[in-house]
Amino acid sequence: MSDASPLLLFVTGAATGFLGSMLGLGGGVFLVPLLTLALGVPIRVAIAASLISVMATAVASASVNLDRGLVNMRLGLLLEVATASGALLGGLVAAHLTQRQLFIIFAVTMASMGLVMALRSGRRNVIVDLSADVGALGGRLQEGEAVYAYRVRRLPIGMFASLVAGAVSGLLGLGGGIVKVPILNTFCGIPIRVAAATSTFMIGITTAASAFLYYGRGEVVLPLTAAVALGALPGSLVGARISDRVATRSLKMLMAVVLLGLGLRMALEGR
Amino acid sequence: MTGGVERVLRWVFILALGLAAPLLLAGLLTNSPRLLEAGVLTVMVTPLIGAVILAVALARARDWPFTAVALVVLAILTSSLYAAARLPPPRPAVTRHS
Repeated sequence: MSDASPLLLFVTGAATGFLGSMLGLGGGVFLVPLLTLALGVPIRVAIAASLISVMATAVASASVNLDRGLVNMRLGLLLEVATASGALLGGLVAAHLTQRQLFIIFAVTMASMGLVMALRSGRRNVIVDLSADVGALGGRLQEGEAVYAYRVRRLPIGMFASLVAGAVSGLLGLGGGIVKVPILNTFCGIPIRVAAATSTFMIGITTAASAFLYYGRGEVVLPLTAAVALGALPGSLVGARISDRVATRSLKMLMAVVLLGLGLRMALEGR
Repeated sequence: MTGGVERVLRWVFILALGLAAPLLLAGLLTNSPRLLEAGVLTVMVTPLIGAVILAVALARARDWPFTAVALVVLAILTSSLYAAARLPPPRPAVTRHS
């Protein structure tokens, strides 16, 4: 087990929560590599701590997004059937993988995230005609004074992306938003703010589906998890608050490079 | 569904975190596994409570297709709990490259 002090773990949780939230990635993608590579925490324990930490920050963010009316709950629930199934499967499969295999899968996922981050489109996908039929899953959103509508298209693609996101979450302790949000935005016609808010709302349920399994296997180390989650809460809230101002394209490109580099480091660790 | 369920969920989430954070902090400061466990479990059951609230709200709105969807999500969460409960007793965490 790591000898890191609770204060160091708290700061690690705060820093990764801040960075992940500012970039819209969730903190797990930075937390698991830091805990394993820098602090020597076993990867399964790091994944379990990350799941609880991501769950706490998702619940905090959801309480803000619910107030803003950005969460599409019907769409979120429908996609959650696939995401929670994937997370349950990922959580069960993780028990049968070696540390080496987990490192390799994490490395490949991080590298893919780096590429997605470099390429993601951020389309708006809104309809100005408010009388348009938005269907059972579409909705409306307000941006300043203007109100827009959106329709959900190609739902099977969204369901498949959600299944993959859930599996990634259960296997690696991530929220899975980085998999889901770009696909919901680019292929399913959902505005990026609604896709991100709905994804965050779902992440609490997604992580719960696999966190129970990690808890049952004794991989949730209480003091470590508590310190990291306590740090992640304020870190992610501050990150979310300033994300609109500082998450510029150049910063995202820099982080894409960091993700690719961390992915390479994780791959070397798993050799 | 109206804005009512959003308000209820928001308050449930705020209350849950308002309960979990002091428990976790007190657990760390006093080195109490019971407080730490209570804090972690509070965080873990919050999304489950959120899903129950959503299912009830949808049923009250007589939105049966989405009530069924919410029940499927709850069934998946319950099966995870069931699987966790049937796992053998936890082993101590392993060391780094085992």
